[in-house]
Amino acid sequence: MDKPQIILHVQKPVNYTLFDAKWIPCSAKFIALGNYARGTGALQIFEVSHGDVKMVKEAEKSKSFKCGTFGASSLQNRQFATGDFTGKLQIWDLETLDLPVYSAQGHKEIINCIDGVGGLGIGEGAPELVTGSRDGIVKVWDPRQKNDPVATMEPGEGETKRDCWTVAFGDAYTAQDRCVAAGYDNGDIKLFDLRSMSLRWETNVKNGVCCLEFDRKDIKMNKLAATTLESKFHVYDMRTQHPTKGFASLTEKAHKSTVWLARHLPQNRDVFMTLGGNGSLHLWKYSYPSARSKKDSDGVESGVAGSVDLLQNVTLSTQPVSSFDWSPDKLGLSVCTAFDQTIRVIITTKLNTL
Amino acid sequence: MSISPHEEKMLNLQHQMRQNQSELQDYLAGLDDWTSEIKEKEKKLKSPETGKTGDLPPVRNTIEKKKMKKKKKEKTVDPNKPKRISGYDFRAWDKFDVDKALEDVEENNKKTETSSSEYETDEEWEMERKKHLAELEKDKGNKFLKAGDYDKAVEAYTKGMEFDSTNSILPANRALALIKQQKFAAAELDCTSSIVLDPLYVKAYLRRATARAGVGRTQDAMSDYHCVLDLEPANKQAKAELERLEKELSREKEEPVQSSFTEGQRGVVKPVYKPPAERSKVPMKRIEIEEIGVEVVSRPQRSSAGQSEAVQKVAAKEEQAFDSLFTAKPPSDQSPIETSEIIKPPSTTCDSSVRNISNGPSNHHQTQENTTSITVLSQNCEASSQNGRHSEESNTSKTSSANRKATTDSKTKNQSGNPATRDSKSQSGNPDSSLPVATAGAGDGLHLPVPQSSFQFQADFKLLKNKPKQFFQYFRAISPSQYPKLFGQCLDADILTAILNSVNMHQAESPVDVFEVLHNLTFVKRFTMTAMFLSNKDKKVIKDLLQHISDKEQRTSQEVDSLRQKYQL
Repeated sequence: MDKPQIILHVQKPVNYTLFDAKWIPCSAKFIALGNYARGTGALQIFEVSHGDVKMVKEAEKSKSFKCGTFGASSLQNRQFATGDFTGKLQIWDLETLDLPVYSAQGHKEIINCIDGVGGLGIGEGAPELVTGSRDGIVKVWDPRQKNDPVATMEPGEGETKRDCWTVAFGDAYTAQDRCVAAGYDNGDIKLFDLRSMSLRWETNVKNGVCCLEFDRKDIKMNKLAATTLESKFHVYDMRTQHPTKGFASLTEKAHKSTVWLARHLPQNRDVFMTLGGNGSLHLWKYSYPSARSKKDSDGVESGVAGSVDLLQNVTLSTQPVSSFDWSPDKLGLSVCTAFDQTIRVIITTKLNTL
Repeated sequence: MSISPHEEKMLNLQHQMRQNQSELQDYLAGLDDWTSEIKEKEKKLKSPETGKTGDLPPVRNTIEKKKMKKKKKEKTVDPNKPKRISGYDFRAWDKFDVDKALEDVEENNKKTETSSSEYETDEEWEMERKKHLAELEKDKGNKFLKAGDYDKAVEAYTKGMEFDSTNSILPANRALALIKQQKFAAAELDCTSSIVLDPLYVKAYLRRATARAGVGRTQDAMSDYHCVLDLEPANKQAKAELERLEKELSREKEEPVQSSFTEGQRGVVKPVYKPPAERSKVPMKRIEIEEIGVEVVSRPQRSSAGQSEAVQKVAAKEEQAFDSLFTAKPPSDQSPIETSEIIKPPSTTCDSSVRNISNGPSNHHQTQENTTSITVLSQNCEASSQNGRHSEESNTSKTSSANRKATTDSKTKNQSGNPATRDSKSQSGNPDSSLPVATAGAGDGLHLPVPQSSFQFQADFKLLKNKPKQFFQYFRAISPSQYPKLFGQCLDADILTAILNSVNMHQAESPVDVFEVLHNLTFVKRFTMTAMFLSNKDKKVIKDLLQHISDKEQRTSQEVDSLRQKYQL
């Protein structure tokens, strides 16, 4: 009866291919990234006001942008980190978009994904960025260190390099603890522990991993959502790691096409949206089992996965949805970009009653 | 009144829609409020007061580790750890396999990588890190050294020294690489700095001794060996070397100039510094630098990518000419002189300009007093032999073009490291020059007058170098008593070998007093120096000549013996 409603609030067509959109923290503005047909990078800032979105700033750069994040920037500076098609990691001051405040040739090929932690009051410890690239390498950056990453995770010599499609920070609940999850085109999911600088866990979900996201970055690892090709997504319970079985998980079918993204609601970590290749949005709620861990016959603890319920679904576009971002400041407000070159501001109601 | 289930459902639906609508309206109203609210908040955010910058944790993997607490030192001795060899246990050191030890250290480092970084302060950790990097560079250098890649070894050691300037092994190892490259002066410097860092480092002394012996400073070398023996009285190498040097020194007493290196050794020419006031006012002349005593005729190195296009073009042309020269040359033309296997194209146009210059050769001698290895040659001559059109220009504006040419020539010379390639260059110049072919042919019948000055001889020698027969005729005309005056400073190995060869080859046809020739040659200034650099081949020629003297000419065995000694046989 009291199902949340997903309502298209405003839509705005643009003249470039959209890859990413992110809310600017502590504002009613969001930033859209993409590439123009002529191969240049597009960066536009829009503001939501009175049932409309207005473009307030734009910049065209020589290289196409693929992804961006505010995750490693302080709330006051709100500097935007981007990864581009040539493998460059740049950080922009939104007041002066002429030159980046930080620039490093991070990868040899396109940076597919970027995530940040330690900024915006989210996550303990140093502000850090993580980038994943087609060259198979995942690099962790500290904006205070020029040119060189602070950690690099790459396949060993002789191993085939897989295209890294997604990276995510998590477990940043103390200054030392921090994890990076990386998903690859062959279905590999790897969890790197940055404290011990080691591979903590890996698994294969058979289909290319499009998106990984922890429900929260700044708490002890709780849940990890992994979306894949072939219309499947997985949710791992990350609290209990079994020495051999790893983490317990559930698998759900959705969208009847590639599940491009999963985004957890900032105001409620058990609610998340998945976005499909057919332009649909599904809103899910995760329910924990009665006991999150059980002891097996040997007395070793292993996790127990919960279940997910579909709360609402809506199809907004005929093209895949390339990005989705919940507003961190306003419950239920989100922005979404699709490959039909349209930015959509979406309102989800009744989220507070869940 | 009761309602049917269908009606109830409809009512519910209506109710829900209404509810949803109102919910959305509320939300939208809230959204408007929120946008203005957040705008205020954002404005506040921009004002500097709100920005509090808490203490951020350090950057990962650089400083983070520095904060680690020092662990309790484990005093328990690792049973696998070999005992340290005492500095005075020389027998044990003799058995000590340095390479194996290095590898062991490397392995241990790998094993204990994680535990090796517990240091109390940032500085300590940073220093440890740099030291570690230096070690890595050293290992790299050692590998290169083993593989014989001395340039890369030197590079690696240099990097290592940048990381850790207190490591005495790095400069010593670099010195070894430099010695292998026969860069003795630099090697000596490195050894000295290594010794400064570690005055008890025996290897540094040994290497410095080698380097010093290399530059002919036998006394200094010996003192180094003495130092080694003070530190390690049982050092075999030092003993053997010391003995050898002592022998050499005693020989040197008889012959003033002596060096442990007589073969394949390049002469070291040091720059002479003069204050501007004392410098020669004579305009700069092009100077040909020839390496003496080097028998190698190698192909010119390919021009590197860093060179300008023009230079590369020139290099390519040279290469082509060089190839054609090798393929076209009939083997019968081979001259007896090794260093100039390629026949120099006759270029008589050079003649006139040479004469012009030969009026004032003394200028050259003032400026180039102290090198036998430098063959002075007028730039005009070189220019004309290199390219016909250059000679015109240089005759009219000699001084103005001198500098420019000198620079261009020095550029091209980068590719022409040896005489052979230089010759090929002049060959390549000919086709596009306006030189008539007839002139070139006339060179064969060339008959040059007896030279009056050393400079004239030099020029003539250039022309005759590859025509042993004509050269012999030319040389025979010179009175032996004139030699010291004529050759002046310039009797280099090239000329000497040419003379010896031609005398040896042709003395049968036209008799000549070989003893007189050889004897008078020894009076030429710096002869001993030149003789020192003679190759085995040349020495054999001399032996033949001496044999000839003792066979055919009426000379006492004493005279022949003294001659033998002077030629250092």
